[in-house]
Formats: sequence, structure tokens, C-alpha cells
Amino acid sequence: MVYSGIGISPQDVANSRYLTVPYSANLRYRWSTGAAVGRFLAELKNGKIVGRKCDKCKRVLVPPRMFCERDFIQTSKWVYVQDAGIVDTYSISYIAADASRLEKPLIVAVIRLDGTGEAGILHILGGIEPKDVMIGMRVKAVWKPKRRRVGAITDIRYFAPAGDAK
Amino acid sequence: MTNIDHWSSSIDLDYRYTAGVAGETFLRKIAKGRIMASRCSYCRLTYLPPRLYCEKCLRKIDTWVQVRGKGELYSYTMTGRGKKKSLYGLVKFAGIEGGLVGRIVGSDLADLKFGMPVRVDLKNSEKGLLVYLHV
Ligand SMILES: [Zn+2]
Ligand SMILES: [Zn+2]
Repeated sequence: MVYSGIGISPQDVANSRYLTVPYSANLRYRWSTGAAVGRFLAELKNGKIVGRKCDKCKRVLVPPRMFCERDFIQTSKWVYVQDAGIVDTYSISYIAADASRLEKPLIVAVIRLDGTGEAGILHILGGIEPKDVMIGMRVKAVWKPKRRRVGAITDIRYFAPAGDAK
Repeated sequence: MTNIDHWSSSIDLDYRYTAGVAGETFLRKIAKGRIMASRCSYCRLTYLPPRLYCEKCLRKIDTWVQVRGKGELYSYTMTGRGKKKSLYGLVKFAGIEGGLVGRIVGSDLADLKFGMPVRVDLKNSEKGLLVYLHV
């Protein structure tokens, strides 16, 4: 047997149609980045993307790791990679980071940067309509202006179709 | 170039608690001085605070009964800091599952005994509904 629930709209809340008790929880945290991601973020501030290379499997790992999870050995050197690549996979999301609904969807994508192995970085696509996105299409990073970069993955605003990127 | 060795942020969760269908009815009625329980007509079990579903047979409950008369003091506790102490009790009513928690007024700890009769007195205040228990 299925019992359906009762949906409560923002209007119901505004009109006090139901009794509610509001709460706010602010969960503050500090995340230690580690050696590899610590440098990765600092390089982003300079407008560069850096990875780590494994000598055994020859992969360049982006975001960088200090060890290769495939070979169980330390990665050996830092390698700069291009800020352009292809869309490996993507998802059209009508839900924002705070779980609110979006009129205009976000296009979340995994970007495989040129010169890296399989897998890539998770980011969003911009300057393109959802219906025009294709797996394998070329994209390029659109960066924030240098003075507004803080050393975060969001220093890249989004990835745009390669032809349109500046 | 200096590594960025940490990232600080916060996850902000804003939400509203709702009392549910049975809880909503219970709160609106008790604010008007009436204690309502819900009864499963199949199991003959009566729940306080009321539930929308019977936890024994899982059927939906649609029968409401008003709780009247005196209850009995099932349990009590003293809370507080320093000299300021308060007594709280759990009151049960004959034939009803669950009970009601309220503040015991007009009595000292030494006066209290399990099972003693309790009269429930509901008062609306600026702070909300106050449940006073008189033994
Ligand atoms: Zn390897
Ligand atoms: Zn039942």
C-alpha cells in the first residue's frame, strides 16, 4: 500500500498554512589539501593546471596525487597540462548545490584535459545550450581575471566550446 | 609559489521542521486546551502524542479521541543549575499509549510518587504553550 505525502509550497510557508519550526545549521570545516592538491590550487591562481606523472603507467594525473593508485608507487614529477580538452561525460542538472530548483540548468561535465590519462576534472560547461553538448566535443577553460583568483577550482569559471573560448 | 594547504568553508543547511499531519492537529488542538490522541480502530490502541499510522498494524488512523480527566505520574526528574531547579514529569492516561511531558508546579521533589494522580493545566504564553502538572 502506498500513502502519498503532502507537499508544502513556499507559498504555504509564507501564508503560515502549516506549523513549522525553522532551523539553521552552519557546518564549518577546514579541509587539509595535502601536497599534491595544495600545489594544484596554487597553480590555478596563476592560471595554470598542473598534474603528476607516474613513471610506470605513464599517466598524468589531474587533479594531481602523490601516488599512483594503479601501481601503488609514488608519482615522480610535476607536469603542466593544457587548459583545454574534451567532454568525457556530462549531466544536465536542474538542482543547485543547495538543492534548490533551477530554471536554467547547470551542465556538469568531466573534462579530460589534453595530455592527461583517462578520467579528468569535474567542472561546469558554459557558453553552450544543453541540447548542443556532445561527448567528445572540444572545450577550453574560461578563467576568472587574475586579481579575482583565490586558488580554487572555481578560478576557472567554466569550460566553453573551444572555438568560442578566449 | 606557496601551496594552498587548506580550504575553509561551511555547509549551510536551512530547513523547516513540520509536525506532520497528526502532529499538526495535536498542536493546534492543544493550543486551544484540548489534548487529542489518535486511535487505531483495528487494534484499539490509542496514541499520545497522536500518530497517523498505527505502529502495531501499520494501518492509517482516522479516529481522534479527546483525553480527559486526571493522569498518573509515570516518571519525573529534576533539572537545573545552582539554586534554580525545575521538576518535570511524564503523565500517562488510562488506556493510552505514550503520554505527555510537562513541568510539575506547586510540589517539591519529596512530594512526588510514581503513580500519583496528576491534573494537566495548559497555558498559552508568549513563549508558546506551557504544560503544567499539578499533583
Ligand atoms: Zn601508475
Ligand atoms: Zn493498529
